[in-house]
Amino acid sequence: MMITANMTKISRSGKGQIFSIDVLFSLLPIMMIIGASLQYLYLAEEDAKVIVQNSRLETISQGMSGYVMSNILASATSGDYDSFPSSSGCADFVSLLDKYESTFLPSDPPLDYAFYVKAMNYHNTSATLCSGDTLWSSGSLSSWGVYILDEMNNTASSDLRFTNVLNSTGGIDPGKIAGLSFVVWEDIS
Amino acid sequence: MRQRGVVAMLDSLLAYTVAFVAIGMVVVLMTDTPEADMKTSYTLNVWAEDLADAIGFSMVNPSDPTEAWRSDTSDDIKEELNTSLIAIAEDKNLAILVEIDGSLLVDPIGNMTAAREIAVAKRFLFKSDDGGFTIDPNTISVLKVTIGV
Repeated sequence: MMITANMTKISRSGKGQIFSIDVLFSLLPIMMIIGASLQYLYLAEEDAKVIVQNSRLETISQGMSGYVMSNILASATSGDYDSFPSSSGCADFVSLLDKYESTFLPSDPPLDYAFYVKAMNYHNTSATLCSGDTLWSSGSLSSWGVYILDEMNNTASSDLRFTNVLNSTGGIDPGKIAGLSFVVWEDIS
Repeated sequence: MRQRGVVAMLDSLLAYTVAFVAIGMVVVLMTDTPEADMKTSYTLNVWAEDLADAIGFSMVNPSDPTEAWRSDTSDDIKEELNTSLIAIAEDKNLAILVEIDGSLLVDPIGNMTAAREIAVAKRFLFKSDDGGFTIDPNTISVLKVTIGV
């Protein structure tokens, strides 16, 4: 009874009041620190998700390019590969990419990966070969202009590799260098 | 008395603001992992290895490493290499330097001294004579490819 009376008395005098303006103001930086920390943790979590997602796509892209490049080099040294880059040689990439894609297990939730490969002949820059809708290994896009983030699920990874140009008999054409560009993304179309 | 309170509040607000900015800068600097630079380093190294392979295979037949290419002249191959490398450098804004045993194989492409990052790849090839097509299996040449961006 005595304590209650004292508290009431103190409150009325304006001194020692728990939620007075000066107490609230002194708590402000603490609240700011807590708020900033929570926000930082949230951003870090979101960044981690993106890093993991991109890392997966990077790995897929690098694995795909490594697989195709080793195939080309192995075939080139034996001389039994179609000339590259050329329209006939490009057809082989589709089957290579299909084989590579078939190594993926169904994911949960089901996600599909869209692959794209394009070859450039740096010896003859006017010739850009192996480009066309037929090279979409998975998914199907209507035209080259469909580079919209919706279908890429805001993620994509690419890898450019260089290799020798192969002549008409499948052997290495010395001095001529071609480029192979690989792109992969999550296809949600 | 009231004025002193306001000044104290403003003073503490300023102090906290400075502290927040300072801490924020430290956090940003510490968490600013150069992910893009890591990707650049990786890509540059892969490209250097690829180009070293392509140039090496242009010097020595990969299906028979004891033989250099005989179907063409050395100068022609160098010219083809030069054309390809210039096109790659222009396309990717690279500087490229190709050396064999310390001597330039093709003219330097781009400005390597201005590159902020470089990658080097080396290959060991059987040495050929000045004509470029007679292999001496007892001697080895070092092919060095440097690319910078």
